[in-house]
Amino acid sequence: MNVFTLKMSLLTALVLKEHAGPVKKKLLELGIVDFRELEGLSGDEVLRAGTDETLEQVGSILQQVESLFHQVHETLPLLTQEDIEADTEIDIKAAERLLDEIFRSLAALREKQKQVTGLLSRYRELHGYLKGNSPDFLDLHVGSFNEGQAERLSGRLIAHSAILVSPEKSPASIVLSLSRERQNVEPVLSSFGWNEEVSILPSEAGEMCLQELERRIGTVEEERRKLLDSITAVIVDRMEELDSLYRQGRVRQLLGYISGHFSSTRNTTIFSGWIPSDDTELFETALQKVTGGVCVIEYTDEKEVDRRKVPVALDDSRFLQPFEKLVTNYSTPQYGTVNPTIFVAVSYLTMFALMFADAGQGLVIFLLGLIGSRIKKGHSILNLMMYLGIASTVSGVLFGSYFGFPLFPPLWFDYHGAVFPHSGDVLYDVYSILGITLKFGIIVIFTGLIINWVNLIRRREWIHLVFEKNGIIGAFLFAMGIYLSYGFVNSGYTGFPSSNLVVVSIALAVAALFFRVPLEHFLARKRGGFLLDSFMEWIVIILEIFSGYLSNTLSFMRVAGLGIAHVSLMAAFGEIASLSPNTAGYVLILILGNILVIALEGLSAAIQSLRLNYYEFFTKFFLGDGTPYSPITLNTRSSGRRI
Amino acid sequence: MLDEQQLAALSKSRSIEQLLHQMQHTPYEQLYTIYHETGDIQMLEAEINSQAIRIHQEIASSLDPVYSKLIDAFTRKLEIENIKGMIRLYFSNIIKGEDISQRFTYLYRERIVDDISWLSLANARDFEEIRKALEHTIYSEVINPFTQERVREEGLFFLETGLDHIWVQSVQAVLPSLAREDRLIITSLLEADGDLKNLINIFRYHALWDLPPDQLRHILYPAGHLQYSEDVRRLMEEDIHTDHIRAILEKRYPRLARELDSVDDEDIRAQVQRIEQYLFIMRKGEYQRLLRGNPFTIGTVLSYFFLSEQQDGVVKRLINAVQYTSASEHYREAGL
Repeated sequence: MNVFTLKMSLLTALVLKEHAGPVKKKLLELGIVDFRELEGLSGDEVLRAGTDETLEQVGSILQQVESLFHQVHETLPLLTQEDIEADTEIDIKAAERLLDEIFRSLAALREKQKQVTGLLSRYRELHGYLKGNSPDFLDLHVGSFNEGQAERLSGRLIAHSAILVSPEKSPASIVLSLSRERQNVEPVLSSFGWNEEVSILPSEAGEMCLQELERRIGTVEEERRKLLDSITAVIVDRMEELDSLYRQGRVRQLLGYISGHFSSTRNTTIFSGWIPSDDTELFETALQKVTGGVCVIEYTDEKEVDRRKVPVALDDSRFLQPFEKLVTNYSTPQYGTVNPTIFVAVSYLTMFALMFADAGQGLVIFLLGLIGSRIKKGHSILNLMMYLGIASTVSGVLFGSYFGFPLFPPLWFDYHGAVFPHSGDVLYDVYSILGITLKFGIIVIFTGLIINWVNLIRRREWIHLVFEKNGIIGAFLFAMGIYLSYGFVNSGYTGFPSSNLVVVSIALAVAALFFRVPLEHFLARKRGGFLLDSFMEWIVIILEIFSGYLSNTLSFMRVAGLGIAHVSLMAAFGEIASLSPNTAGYVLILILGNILVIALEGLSAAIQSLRLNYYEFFTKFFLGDGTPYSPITLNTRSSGRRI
Repeated sequence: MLDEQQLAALSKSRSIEQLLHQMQHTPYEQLYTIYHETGDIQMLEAEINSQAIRIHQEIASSLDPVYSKLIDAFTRKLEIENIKGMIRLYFSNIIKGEDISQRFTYLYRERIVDDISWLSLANARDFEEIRKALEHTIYSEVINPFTQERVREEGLFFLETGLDHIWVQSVQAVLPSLAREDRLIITSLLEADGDLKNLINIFRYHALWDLPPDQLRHILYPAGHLQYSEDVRRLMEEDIHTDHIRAILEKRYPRLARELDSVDDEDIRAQVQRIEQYLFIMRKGEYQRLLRGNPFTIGTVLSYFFLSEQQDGVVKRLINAVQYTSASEHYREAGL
């Protein structure tokens, strides 16, 4: 793990043109180069290699293959080293022929599927009216027609959403149709010599039609299932070819992307990109091996490049991956600054634990995360659930809470007892809980400020370090505010500590803030026009410091609020359960209560912890203007990836 | 929303499967499953319409009663389209004797704004049943003057135009209860829309179809300044001439008047087309301006409605283009 974002190196490499092919493959195999456009090249002899002209066709082929994989719910093949080695020119025409064949077969099946769906909806409409007692929309005919024409009549009728039923035990037939189709159905019946009879009662006829419709719906649904199976079979039968086509195409596409970053002269090829500095040796060895040592590699000092253009790689351990997601979900930190992942992990887990302190419920969350991560591997949210579960379990043990009950004595203090005191001899009460969370908030804010100072020192922004809201003077005023508040609370809310030193130091700090703009003007050798600016900025920063830090700190009271709400909810469910006349009801209410609390409170605590991290912690130091490190690798993810 | 790059990529799809596969992780994701299960692209269009209705309803349900009413009024536009679809079924089936069974499947049958018995509407055997299905709704006023005979004689044009006016009137009815800024935004949008639509209608139906003035007056959109304008009244009663139009435009839409200068005076169709283009660009610009402006106005919601309606249209056209035309024509067919 690295406290800062990984140190990066900008390389520029020159190889012989004849080595360009193997070099591309090696770069893909290494998967560590985040390519950059070469700047400053000029002259007629330097040509941009450009993208492979077949790249667009390959992209289209890949998309079609992917859509076929999608249809049969197959995940895309993961590329391996062998795929690079086996790299062959893709036969675009053959690939298109293969895909055309498959899509033609699919189109024919889709057409049938459409017809079957249409038929099904006709039957379902009739069935719906018949079963839903909407006879107004239906016409029922009982009668006979010209012998030997049942099949033809049935065929003609279905075109008008009507069905012909010929009961075995009766010489008469039944026709069920939509009354809106009357003007179309009646001429058809007449043309088949239909003769109305009353040999079957309407209720019986309706029942027979219902049975017939259910039979037909069953048959059509079966046909539809078979068609879906046939669609799957069309794809699965060619899966081997599609798999191979995908691998071939994807390797070509990735090599094409790499080619797009190559520039060439008549005999040489040149490219540039960022790699983690720790990998320079690996890169050099690999390039020398593939070019037989005929290559030139130069590095540009990353300090010469605008740090916002340097890609940012975070080197966090597997344990911290879910928290890294929380960081990058906010934004990418600026290059060279502190990697906040470890701090987020600690503060996020602590906040959640304070808001959701229950060993039993924590264990449930842990198990849900564990089971989920076994079923769906690689989901960071499930890993996060496991960590949150553990944190909640630990705090549950500290506060003696197990599914809302104090089953074992607390290791720290009884949270339930603090919220609902049973005797006057209570060490902790609701105010103590508020106090704990405020202290925790102050620690979080100061951690953010210290990270900010480290970042500012690394960026050599001395004026900001001293004069900005989150700089040293701002922090000093915040500390003074805390000191005065504590004094006020300790005096029993009667007065502030009276110390001339405090008053003078606050006044000096506030006055010092005024000099930021003049100092900046002086260093930038600007003349005049700064008095009004200084005054305005001074007022704004004072307001920001006094109101901002106060609201930031008080915001942490929500941690206590949610913790108290959690205890209160569990107590309420306990009360409701005790009103139940029997044990089964008691247990059921408690189970339901626990489920509800885990789902709602758990989600609420997770969101509030995130909010506190993003708005109270990150705002102290985070510059989210970094560019994610996105090397081209065999299995490149859609967004920037860590190494 | 899909961006230009995504739309361009979609237009290069060579099959419906590829097109829908690319719409994963977009609001149109559901279309893939529907196509996989039915193989019917009209079902996809039906789903896009249903989705739009659901979004309107969701937005309405999350706003306070006054604004919820306003969104309901806008949702009526979709309800009216559905009613028109249902009445067209009746027209095709009963009046023209065509098979409609399959078409019924594609129409929405849940509640949109009013309680309408969609089944009664779809199963109507005569116009009386249509009237009955809509008798306790806001639409009865438009439907009541029509009879089966009248519909048989003049078709559905006047009936549909009447229905189209209802959603505008329902929006106008809610306006007084809105905050000033919101009221001004909607009024200005409706007025500009109304003026240009009325111009298009006058061009199209007076000059091309020779509709008499009293009928022309009936189809005038109930919004904008031009509906009360003396110039327009005269225009409807006299032989249309480009000078008349230009005189009207000069007063309120001088830019459009200048643009029409470059179109052949005699070519009414080209002039209509130019006004339509202008209307579209003006609307788009207006909604984009609203998006950039104060986010706490109704403009944001209206812009979303407009942009998603446009996008739904493009996606529907793309689906049809990919299904029925060659790859090179997709982009043009989808109107991109």
